[in-house]
Amino acid sequence: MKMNNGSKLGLIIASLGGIIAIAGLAVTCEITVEGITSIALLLLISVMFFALAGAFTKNGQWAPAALTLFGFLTLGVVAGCTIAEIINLYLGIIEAVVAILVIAISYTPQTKRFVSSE
Amino acid sequence: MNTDVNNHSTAFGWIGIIAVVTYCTIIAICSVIADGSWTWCESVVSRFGINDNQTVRDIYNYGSIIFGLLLATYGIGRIECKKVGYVVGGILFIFAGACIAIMGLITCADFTRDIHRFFAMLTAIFIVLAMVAIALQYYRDGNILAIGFTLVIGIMAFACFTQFEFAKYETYNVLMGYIWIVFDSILMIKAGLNGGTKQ
Repeated sequence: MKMNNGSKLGLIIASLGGIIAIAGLAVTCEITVEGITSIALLLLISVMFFALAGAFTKNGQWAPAALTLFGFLTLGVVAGCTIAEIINLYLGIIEAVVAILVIAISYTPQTKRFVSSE
Repeated sequence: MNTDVNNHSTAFGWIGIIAVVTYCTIIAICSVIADGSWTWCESVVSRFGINDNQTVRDIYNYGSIIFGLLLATYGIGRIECKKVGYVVGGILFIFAGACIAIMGLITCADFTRDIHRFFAMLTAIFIVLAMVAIALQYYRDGNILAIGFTLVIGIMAFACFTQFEFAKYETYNVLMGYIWIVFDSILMIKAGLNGGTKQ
């Protein structure tokens, strides 16, 4: 079964989220002892986005509900880091928008059907 | 028998919303009247209870009692939904409401500070546990969006708790907790309007 458009879009957007996190790390973080927290959390955020990207596949590693929940988890980490002033505000806003888009795409019936199909 | 809702889900949902709006209005009025003696994110909310201005003290203390009673009523509404998570959450909201009402009676003046803090911490713990219990029921019901929203609120609250001073994280966490209560109230209203078919 070819990938449907929703899954393709989800994969691309989630991958972009991971790339933006790494790029944001390079641009906004300082290599100091105090900066370790934001570096580590941006790396975590990028890993979470890449995991989401990998889940948009036929017979994926997660059930559709788990995929949506993981999207919310990613959004929570992004929102928490932004509101706690651990990561840059604008970077946080961009990542939050990306996470919400991924959640929305993962919740569509077509994507759920594709991800749970064999 | 559908145990997602009771006949008065809509009414109890509105009580939850009214409770939160009441509390926010009380804090807003107190902060305006208190003028320079209280600063957002630098002063603890309980300081309104011992403010030099008698009007501020009265509004805050009596307002806390009213808010506590409304929150407890909302908890009763949650109990009547009969599913385990909602019952546990409702009971915890009743206790939280009772603690808030007691905080309105016992201020954080020097000689009662420890007692006030005791009830303040209990309030926070009860509200967090109530959110967890109700979120677990959302999970059992397969309501993914609801549990996702709870997850986001929970992580944000935790991040604020670890990063900020007490007064600042108290402000943020109280706000996020009450946003969640409004969200849960909307779910109750929606279920009541749907005639109890799905929550």
